[in-house]
Amino acid sequence: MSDQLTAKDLMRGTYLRFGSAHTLRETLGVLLDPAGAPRERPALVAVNPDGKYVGRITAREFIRALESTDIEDVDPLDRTLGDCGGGMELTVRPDTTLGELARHAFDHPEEDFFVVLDNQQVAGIVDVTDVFRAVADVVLTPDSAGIRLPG
Amino acid sequence: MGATIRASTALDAGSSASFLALARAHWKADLSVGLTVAIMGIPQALAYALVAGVPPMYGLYASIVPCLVSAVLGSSNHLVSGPTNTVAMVTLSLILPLSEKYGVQPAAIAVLLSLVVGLIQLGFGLFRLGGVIRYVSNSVIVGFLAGAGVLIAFNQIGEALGYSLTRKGGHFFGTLGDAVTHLNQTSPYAVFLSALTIALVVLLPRIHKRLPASLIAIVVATALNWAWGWSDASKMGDRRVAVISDTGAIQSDLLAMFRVPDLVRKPDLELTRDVFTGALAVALLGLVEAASISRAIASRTGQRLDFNREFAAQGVGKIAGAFATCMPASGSIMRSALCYSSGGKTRAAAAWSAVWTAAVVVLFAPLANLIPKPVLAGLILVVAFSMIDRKRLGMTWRSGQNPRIVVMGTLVATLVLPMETAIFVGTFLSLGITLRVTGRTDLTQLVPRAEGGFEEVPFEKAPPSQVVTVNMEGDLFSAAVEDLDYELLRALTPSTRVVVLRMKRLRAVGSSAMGILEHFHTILRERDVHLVLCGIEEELKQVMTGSGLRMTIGEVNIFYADNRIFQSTELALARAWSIVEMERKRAQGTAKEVPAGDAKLRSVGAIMARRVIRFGYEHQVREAVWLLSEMLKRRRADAPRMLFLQDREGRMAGALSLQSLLGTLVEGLSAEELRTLGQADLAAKMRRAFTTPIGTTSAMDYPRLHPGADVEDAGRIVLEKGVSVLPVCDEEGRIQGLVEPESLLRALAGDRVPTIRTEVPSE
Repeated sequence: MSDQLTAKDLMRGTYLRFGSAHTLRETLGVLLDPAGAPRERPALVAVNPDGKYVGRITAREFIRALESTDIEDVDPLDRTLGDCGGGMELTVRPDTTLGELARHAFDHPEEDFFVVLDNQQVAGIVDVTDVFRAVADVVLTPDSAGIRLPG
Repeated sequence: MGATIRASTALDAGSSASFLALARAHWKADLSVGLTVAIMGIPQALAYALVAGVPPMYGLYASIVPCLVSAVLGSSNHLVSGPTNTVAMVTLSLILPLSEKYGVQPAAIAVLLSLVVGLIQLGFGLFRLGGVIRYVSNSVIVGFLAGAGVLIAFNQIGEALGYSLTRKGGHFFGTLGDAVTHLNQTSPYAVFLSALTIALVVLLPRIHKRLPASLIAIVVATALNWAWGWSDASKMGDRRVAVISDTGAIQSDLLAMFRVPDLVRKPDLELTRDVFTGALAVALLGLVEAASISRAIASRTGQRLDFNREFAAQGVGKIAGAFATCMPASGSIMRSALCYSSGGKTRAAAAWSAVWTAAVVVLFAPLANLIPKPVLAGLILVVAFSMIDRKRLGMTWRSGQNPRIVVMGTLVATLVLPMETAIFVGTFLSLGITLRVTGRTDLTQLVPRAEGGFEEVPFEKAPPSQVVTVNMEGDLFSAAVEDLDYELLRALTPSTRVVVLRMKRLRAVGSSAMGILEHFHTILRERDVHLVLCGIEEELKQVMTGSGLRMTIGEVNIFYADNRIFQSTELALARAWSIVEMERKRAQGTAKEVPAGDAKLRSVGAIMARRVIRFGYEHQVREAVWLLSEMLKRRRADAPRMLFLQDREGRMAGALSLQSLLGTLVEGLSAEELRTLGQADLAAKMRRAFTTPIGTTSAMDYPRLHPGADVEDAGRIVLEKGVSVLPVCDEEGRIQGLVEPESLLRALAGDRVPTIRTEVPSE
């Protein structure tokens, strides 16, 4: 068995969790709250009433709704997260290794975080910066420090 | 409290085996301490039998059999059982009226009481109901002890002065009146003996703490009484001083104490039923005494106690005592404290004290029968005085109005009511006050602060708002919800459109609360006001599901307590303002909002971040990894995710993301290797890419914007190219800044998205 760090070691327990019936408008209202507590780039996860993972929301879904020029009765911002949520394939298991996470990040360059699912329940999220930090800690040696000026 | 019967709790063979092992290990120390405890305890055993109105040997025997049995089966290393002042007084209070009613000897009823109390306590221990003593508060005990001390003192005045009261064990005023009317029968001999005893018991410990003052006082006073012949009827006539043997001689034949209780051989069900009520009070009192003593000592020794086992052991001890002619026994403060302070190591010390007491009875019974009753009365008066703990009374008095009410109420109840009733009166008084205090839900309003967080204010001080957030705290059981919906309505103002109830700090939510909340929801619907709930914990969620309230209010309006404080409140507020916004738009008749705003803010140059990490494209992967790693360590909140490469002229030459660097490091590794390689091996393989020039791994055709581009263009590029960060370059291609997702969203959203801290402008 590998002794690599896993998703469980790297994941964060703090993220924004919304019900799938909530709208983009109210979700974005929380994100853009100018006086809200300082956050790292927020990870948004949608769950159904039983707490099971439905999907994740990224900036693209919001921008798509804000850019929408559809002439409909329903304002795109009033669409629910359940209508917009995607990225079911962008999940990892708690025992996903660091090496696998690094490959996962490369395979999905547009995504900043992955949802860790444990038996269909959201256990946490793994941000790409955490994967990078962990990899850097592993590969860098004292000899690796510093940069050389271009000759 | 489950009803699982653990019959082995008290009679665990393992505990007996370990007891013997402990006894062997520390036998010398425990033997010596046992003798000390016996010497100090025998006078009290005699005295408390007198208090209880039973022959002295019943007290002595209670220092032997219950003490021995409880020690073997119990948990505490220092709890010593035997007759106690409070149990003795309650025993007297119980047995005298029953003796008069049923024409049975008081001593026989005392033995039956021991049996019934023992059965109750055994039941508590086996069914693990020991926690019930939590409801007998400290204020109740302090008040009860003080009252009992007064009653004991006045009950012994007659004996101390040399006459017998006609109404012993009765109410305080009756006893007082009785004592006053008999004053003219005072015997100077009795007064001398009791006064001498009191003086010796009070003064000897001041000479040396370890002197057995009670024993010395008894020996001296008895010797003087015998020498001067004050108990000799032929010499003194009616003025003779009464001695112990007058109410029942102590026999040196210990075997005589073992017999089946009279009221067990010939049971009287009515009498037994009458005994049971009082026995419950005695059982509770005994358990409280045993628990408080053993806990106090264990807090110093660090011993972990099993209170349910201790209660069972106390029960079995009393049951055994009933078959050994014993009065009800209990954990004795004096004996236990002495056992600890004298260096007792194990439960064997208490067992040895029982053995030593038995030895004294066998050897000195004829001498013990000569002890004058005024001597014992003097001893009891000293004990009674010590029961009025002025320090604890003062501390309880100063603790506030509620403890004051409980302690005075219990004290008065003890003086005027039967003692066994006084315990219940005090306990119910304490519980009633507790319920009155806790049966309340506090309501305040949460007002969002501009700088973040919330301010908690009373309703009347909160500014009017379309969204009202009410913080609910306290208990929500039936006693607390009576006017809750009326109280909640006070939060509404004419402009209120949504009420948010924060329920995170609620306890004990019952079905009454669900009914009230449903009613409140109905009232709000009638006024066209919406209800949103937040801070819902798992327990409350289940209650709401079971009652159907969850479905009534709607899942979309319910926010569950989460791992970050106020997170669910913020989400609920977002929901609330979203509802307000939707209603406003509906009222205006528009489905789509045209974003307004300053035209200047529509260009990417106005929203871009100036801080950009630029890196020469001639560097290697190793250096890029190191640089980004250092940046990530320093800037966690806005951690950089891209390096933008520039050529020697400073023109943008590509972009390197964390993802592409990671991909470079794991290039060539199979899925199997990525899963199974050890960390060191993985690192070694990753380092093969260190010398790769970053120019070969970066995205050379990464999209870029001109500072004058519209934010809508930026949004379109983000969607088309699948990127999140966009560099802004000038005409020469030099990077001037970055458009990040949050600032782009904010610019695109304009005022279409109300934030949770500002009012939606009403038109």
